[in-house]
Parts: sequence; structure tokens; C-alpha cells
Amino acid sequence: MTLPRDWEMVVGLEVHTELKTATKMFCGCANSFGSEPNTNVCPICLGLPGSLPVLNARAVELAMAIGTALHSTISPSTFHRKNYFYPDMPKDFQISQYDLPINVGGYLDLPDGSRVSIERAHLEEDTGKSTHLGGSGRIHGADRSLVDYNRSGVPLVEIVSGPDIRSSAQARDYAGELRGILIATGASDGRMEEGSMRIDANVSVRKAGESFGTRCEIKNLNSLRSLQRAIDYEALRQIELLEEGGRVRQETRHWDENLGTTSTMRVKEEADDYRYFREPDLVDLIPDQAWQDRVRRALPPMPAERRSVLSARLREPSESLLDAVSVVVDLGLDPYVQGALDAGVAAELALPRAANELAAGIDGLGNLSFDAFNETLAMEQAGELSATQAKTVLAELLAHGGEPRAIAASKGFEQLESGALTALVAQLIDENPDEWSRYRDGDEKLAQFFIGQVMKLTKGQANGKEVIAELQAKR
Amino acid sequence: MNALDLADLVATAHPFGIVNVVREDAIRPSLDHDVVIAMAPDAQDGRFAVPRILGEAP
Amino acid sequence: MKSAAEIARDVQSGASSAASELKTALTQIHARNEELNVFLYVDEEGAMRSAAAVDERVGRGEDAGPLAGVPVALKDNLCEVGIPTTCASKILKGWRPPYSATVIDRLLAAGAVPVGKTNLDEFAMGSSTENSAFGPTLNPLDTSRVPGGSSGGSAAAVAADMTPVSLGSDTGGSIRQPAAFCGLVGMKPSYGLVSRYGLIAFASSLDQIGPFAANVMDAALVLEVIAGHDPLDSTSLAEPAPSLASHVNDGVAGKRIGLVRELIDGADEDVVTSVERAAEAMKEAGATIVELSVPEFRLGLSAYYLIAPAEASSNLARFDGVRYGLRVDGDDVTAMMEATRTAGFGDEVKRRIMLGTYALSAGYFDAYYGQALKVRTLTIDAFDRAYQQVDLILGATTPSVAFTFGSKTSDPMAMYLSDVFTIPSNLSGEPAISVPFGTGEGGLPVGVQLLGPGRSEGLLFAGARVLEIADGRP
Repeated sequence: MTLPRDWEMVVGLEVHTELKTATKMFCGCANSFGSEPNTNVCPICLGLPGSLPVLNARAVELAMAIGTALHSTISPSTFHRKNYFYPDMPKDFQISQYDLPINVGGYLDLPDGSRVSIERAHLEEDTGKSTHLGGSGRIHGADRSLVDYNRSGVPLVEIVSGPDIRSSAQARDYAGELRGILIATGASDGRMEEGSMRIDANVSVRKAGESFGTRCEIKNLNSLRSLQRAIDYEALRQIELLEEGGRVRQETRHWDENLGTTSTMRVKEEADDYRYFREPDLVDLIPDQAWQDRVRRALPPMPAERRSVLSARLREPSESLLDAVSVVVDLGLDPYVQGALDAGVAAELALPRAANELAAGIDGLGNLSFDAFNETLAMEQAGELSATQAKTVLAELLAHGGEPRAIAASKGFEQLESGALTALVAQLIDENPDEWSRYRDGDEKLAQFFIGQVMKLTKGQANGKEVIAELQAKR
Repeated sequence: MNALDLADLVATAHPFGIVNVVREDAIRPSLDHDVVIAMAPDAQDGRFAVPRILGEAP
Repeated sequence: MKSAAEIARDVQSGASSAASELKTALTQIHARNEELNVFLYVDEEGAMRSAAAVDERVGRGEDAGPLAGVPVALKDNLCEVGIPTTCASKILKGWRPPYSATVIDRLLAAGAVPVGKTNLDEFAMGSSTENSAFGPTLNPLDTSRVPGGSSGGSAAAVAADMTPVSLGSDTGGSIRQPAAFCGLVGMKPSYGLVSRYGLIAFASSLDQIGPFAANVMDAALVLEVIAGHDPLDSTSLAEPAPSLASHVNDGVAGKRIGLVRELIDGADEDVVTSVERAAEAMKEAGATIVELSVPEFRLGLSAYYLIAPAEASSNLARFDGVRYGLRVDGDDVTAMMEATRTAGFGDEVKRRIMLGTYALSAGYFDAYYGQALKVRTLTIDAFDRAYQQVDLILGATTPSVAFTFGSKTSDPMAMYLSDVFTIPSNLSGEPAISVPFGTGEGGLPVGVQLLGPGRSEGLLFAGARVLEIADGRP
């Protein structure tokens, strides 16, 4: 979406991700989703009087991995207390990092070639979760609230970008690329819908060349699509407001997915005073070079590198193949494609099968071995299976595992003898003279009609390419 | 105290210079749910109950 | 009253039993607690179970531990599982923690028998135990006077012969000052020597748990048991508990002892006399006295009364009526929190929370809290320089002997000034001990203070022992 009349949007994104550790940030309670309320709690994450925090080594490593992947400088850091009262915060302060975060600076290169700067990525603990009773289930209009502290103390990394983003599409790309990195490092499972990855957008507008305008923070963005829509909405809202002579209030706004609008949550005329001071119950964190090097060496390839490695294997990198590469890497399916290419399967076959068929059945990926994938595609490539049949075999493998040849046999997928096909095509030509004369006169589209008829009669067992060969032979 | 110019002094962290205290990412027993909820001034459905919250968290 | 060392010896040898030592303690507690208000809670059943367990171990021929059968009183800001822990505040009335402080686990493992929770100034904020929400504790030596604070109950428990030893906590002098007022040995160890896990925090960067005892050896025995690395406390020192009792009789021959004027000037005459005589006793024991001036110590009071309330304002935020303790209802959660805290906290606690919040607020942080942290660094550096010239420092513990009830309550500043000699060690994190030496006004005991560099507890006990002998308690 382009903005009207020389307006430009300025966007910065704050991404919070829960870390995939076994335990919470400061205690040994399990870090797991979906447990019964208040069952993964202890004196520390409940903030009981007398309790003390002890830092989770794995959380530190994952934070360092994220920083390494984002080209940050891993720096000596301290923890600070962010003080405010709220019932989901057991200590009524949050242990976070303030002016000395673990990761300073950095950048993220996007597929379109643009670069977004990273200001910082730091460690902090998550809060509990409240549900509101009465009213609509949202906070306003509720009579009382119930608090579950299972999530309290879960480790978080907060990644703050510079205000470099200039369009909602770029914001979406940034978020998608960052999510891919968080998943690749093992730090996060990137599930926005579940809340393990949360994005807040800071949006302001200005006329090209002017200084930054007043920004609003947008919350409640539960998908990349919401992120994009909300940014566009908010930018236009601010533009209209300013063009009418109004002024943008610095505030936090809530995105409503159904209405497609943002609305005021909380006015922030002055910055909140969190009375930050160094957390006296924790000591300084100074990861030595040896630790940093271990983290760097253990870092797997990031999505950008994996896309580039896979694209380099394409003899003819068409746009659709490159799109498939993006999809495949984004979903973590590239090892399958690499394996298939190694086994001699053509990219033009391996990529679509991964981007479509494997993607569709991705929950069952654990049932599909690399060998099974390769064999299925080899059979298709050799003409032993039609496209439709190959897709069916893959779906079956994803759902239940197994062995491709056995599955094909059990479904009765046999090669149609070429004689039988010739006879069948001849029969269809006789039965459909109008279609045949149009095809013979050059209307290529009718090839699909005949293929469809053949498929119907053979229950999908024919090979589309061979049908076309028969038709052409008869022209 | 305010009259002193202490610009160059860095605020001290641990008096004996302890740094890098971390623990292994290993599960330890949590508290029993009933014990936790028994402390609550008001509880419902296994959660701590509070009067309505008027605003979002800062 | 038998010393802790004697009790442990007798119980382990079979000459006595944990059960009978406990009975002695409980008898004395029942005799005087109503009058003195020492214990907020006496755990007879729990104590009897612990004593029985100790006697059983002895009966099986096992080593029941260095404190076998020794009754111990615990300041009521230490969490003890299943036992009411109030910090002498209405806001925690009735709360029973679901876990115990590490120090209590270690005492039990050593065979000690916790008997109950003692009174304190609310949330350890005070110097007289007059700030308790459950009434003051009286000084057993003169019931018109305060026992000191904030650990007044723990000091009185030992001074009234209820238990031979007790635990207190010291943030600005809250062990040493009551020890001085009650004629006891009281020590604040090096920061990090004793785990703070389970100590309800007042000022996290200053708090330390330490022992009260009627003699130096008992204090050393208790500290040995509770000290040492705890993985649950990130600020705890890495090493296991040092050997301390073995150093008590080392003497001080050849040691240089600094007499710091800023830890003497301003004290009452009887206190100054005691310090001077203590210096003489050290000389007679073979030490050299060096007169020193450390002007940085004068800044300590202001820095402390910014750092401590600032951290306290944050540490006490959790008392909001949501998860445990007192709740006073309100129309919405914020109103509930405010009503709860208004009703639950006493005046001194509120005063310090307000002061601390102010010291941390935007626009004031640098001038107040930030500046105070730098003064703290100045204090540490000043101590370092002093310890290049001397091995230990000698001074007064308090400006006066125990004062009368109500004599300092009308002016908070007057109360704060009683911490002036104890605060520097809290700021630097270094250890210090108060030991009775001489008497003052009205025959009341005077305490003198020995300070040492980090981890010098052994030397401090040795110095304290020299003074103990010289004061007629061999």
C-alpha cells in the first residue's frame, strides 16, 4: 500500500519471544504450555517473600545465539528491576535488562535486500496470565479477574528494531525473517497464535524529509497478516488526523482483528516511571570469549543462508521455484529438498512437492523419512506414478508412515499399459467429436478435458504427459 | 553528600566481585497446587481471584 | 544458662538429652515471654519433634551434629515452613510459608532445635523493636529500656536465658546494636557468606543473617553451621563454610588494630571509655594500636538511608493482597492493593517506602540513589586503604547504652543516628562483630565493635575472644 501525498510511515518493531528452555528463567519450574493453572509454580516464580532468582544458563545461551544470528555485539550485562504494580506480576516488579543488555546493536537483512537495524535484544522474565470474568472477556467491563502464574518467570528475549521500516510489507518481511531466525537458533517455536512470539509495532508518519512524528504503539497483533493490516490502518489514521489539523497523541492502541481498526488502550503522555535500578539479587553477566565462540560454532545455518544454498542448486531459478524455496526454508523442509536433489530428483519436482504436499501434511513430518520422500519422487519422475498418485502416497506417508512401493501397491496404483491408454484415448475421441475437432484445430486447453476424462475412467492411474503424447500423435 | 563530585566512580556491583552465576536448565519440583491456592485471600477455578483490573499493564 | 557448646557436648555424650534441654528452654520462655514479648510464635510441637529426632540419632550412636539439641530462636523474618512468619507486620499476619530458609535447614541438619519466631521492628526497619505491629520487646536487663532493633526479640531471647543462641539479620546494624544493648555477642558476616534464601528481604544488597550468643565460641559454632555457598542465592560466596571455631583462641599477637575516630566520636562518655579500655586490652594481648581517621565513614548514614529504603520500596511491593497475607477489599484491584497496604503497613515502613520510591524516581535517581551508590564505592575504597595499614578496626557499636522506650520515637532522625557506627560495614559488605566490654550508665552493658576485611570472620572471633577474656568472661 502506498501512502498518499508524500507521506511516509516510520515503523519500529518490538518482538518478544518465549525461549524453548526446559525450565523458567530464575527457577526450576517446568516451562511448558497448557498445564493446569498454578501447577508449575514455586516460591521463586510466585515471588514469595524470601525467594531469590538464579539465572538459567540455557536462557543465556539462547539469548547469545539470537544475538549472534542478528550480528549483535554480545556485551557484559546486568539485570534491572522494572517496578510497577499489576496483579499478574508476583513481585510487582519485573526482572529485565535496562541500559546494559546482553546484545547490543545488530541488523537483519531482508530477502528484498533492505537492511533493518537492531537496537538491542535482551533477557527478561514473563508475567502470569489473567482471565477476565464478566463483560466480554476483555478487561473493560469485567467484574473480576483470575490469575494463573504458570507463565510467570518464563524466559523471554525482547528484540527491538531501529525505526527503519518504511512499509507494512517490509514490517511483515522483517517479522517473518526474524521468526525464521528464532526457530533456526532453537530459541523459539515462533507461534504467534499461541503467544510464544508477540509483536508490538511502533508507528508514526511524517512528510518525506521531516523529522520523526509522534508514534503510537500497537498491540494485540496475533499474526503476520494482522501486523501488516494494522500498520496500514494506523498509518492512514494518523495521516487523516494530521491532515485535519489534529495532533497524534502518544499512546498505546489495541488492534481489533474483526473491526480492522486500532483504538486507544492507554494514553502515554509522559513515559511511565519504572524506577529502574540494578537487580541486587543477581550478579553481572560477562560471557567470556570462549563461551561466545562455543555459541557461534554451534549456531546452525540461518534461513537466508539456507535459501541461498538451495537457490544455488537451481539450474533455472524461475520466480515460482524461488518462491517455493522461500516457503520450503520457512517451514524447515529444505533438508528434504536437498536430500531429493542429491538423489537425482529434479528441482522442478522436489520443490513443489515439498512446498505443497509436505507443507499440507507438516504435522506428520516425523513419519516421513528422507528415503521415503526420495523414492516417491523417483517413482513419479520415472513415470511409475502419476502426479496425483504421488501426492496420495506422500499424504499417506505423512499421516501414517510406511514404505512408498508398498503403499502404491496397496492402493492398486499400477502402470497403465501403453496399449490400454492408446485404446482409451481413441475411444474418448470417438465419443467427443466436438472437443476433438477444437483440439485438433489448435485449442490446447482441451487437452485438459481429455486428460480429465482419462483420469475419471482410470481412477487417476494414467500419466497426464502420456495422454498428451497420445493426443498429439493422433492430431 | 550531594556536594561531592563523584562523576568518575562506577557504582559497585557485588562487593566481592562475583559474576556469571547461572544454573543448569533442569527441572526441580514445583509447589503442590493445593498449598499454593490455600494461601490465596480469594481463589476460583485454581486461580487467584482479584477485583476487576481497570487498565492494561504498562 | 548452659552454652550451646556445652549443650551439644552433653546431648551427644548422653549426659543430657535434646528433650530435656528443650524443656529447660520452654520453661524459661513460658516464665518470661508474656512480660518481655520476645516470641511472636512458639513452636512447641515442632521443637519436640526435632528434639526427639536428635535424641534418636544419638541413641543410634550417630553424630547428631555440632549443635545437637541446642534450642535456637529465629527472627520472624526468616521463613520456616508451616510456621507463621509475620515480619512483625499485620500484612503477613497468619501467613505460613510453604518453604524454609536455607539457614533453618542447615540448623536442623546440625541437630539444632528451632523453638520459635522472635519479635522485630516491622520488616526489619528500626533500631529498637518499637516498630513491631505486635508490641515492643522489653530489654531483659532493664525492662524500661529497648533491647535494640531490628532483631530485638532474638537478642532478648538469649539475654533472658530462653535459648543459648538465636539468629537475627543485620542491614544497618540490626544484630550488632541489639547485641550491644543486651550484653551479647552479635555478628554480621561478610556479604554472601550466609545464604539469604528464605530471609524476607529488606535491603537486598545489605541484608545478612548472623548469630547472637552469650559467648564468642557459641557465635562461631552457629556461624559455621549456617555459612557457606548456597546455589539458591546468586549472591552467595562460592566457597563452603569456613572453619571458624578453630580460630576463636588464636589471640591477636602481632596484629595491627586501627582505632578509627569516626567510629568513636559522638559516642557517650561511657562508651568511649569502654573502647579505650578495649584498645588497652588488645595491646596487652600483643597487638599494636594504630590511630586512624576515615572521614568517608561520615557519609555512610545518608547513603544508607537512600539505598536501603530504595531497595525496600521495591522488595515490599509484592505485599499487595493478591496472593497471600492480608487483603482489604476494594472496587478494583488497584483500590484493593492500596487499601491493603495502607492497613497492613506501619508508619515507619510507609515512611521508608515513600522515601525509597522518591529516591528512585525519574529526575531524582542520579542525585539520590545514584549518588548513594557512588558513596558506597567511596566507603569500600576507604576500607581497603585502611586495611593496608591495619588488620582489624576497633570502635564503638552504638553511641549509647540501651535507651528508654519512647525516647527516640518522636524523631525518626534521632533513631536513624543510632546506626552511625554500624552502617559502614553494611555498605562495604565486610564483616563486623559486637562484643560486650564494660558497663555504662545504670550498669548497662556497653558493646564494642571489631571490623575486618572481607572473609576475616576467623580473625574477628579471635579479637572478640581476647576482649571477652579481658572483660572477665574466660
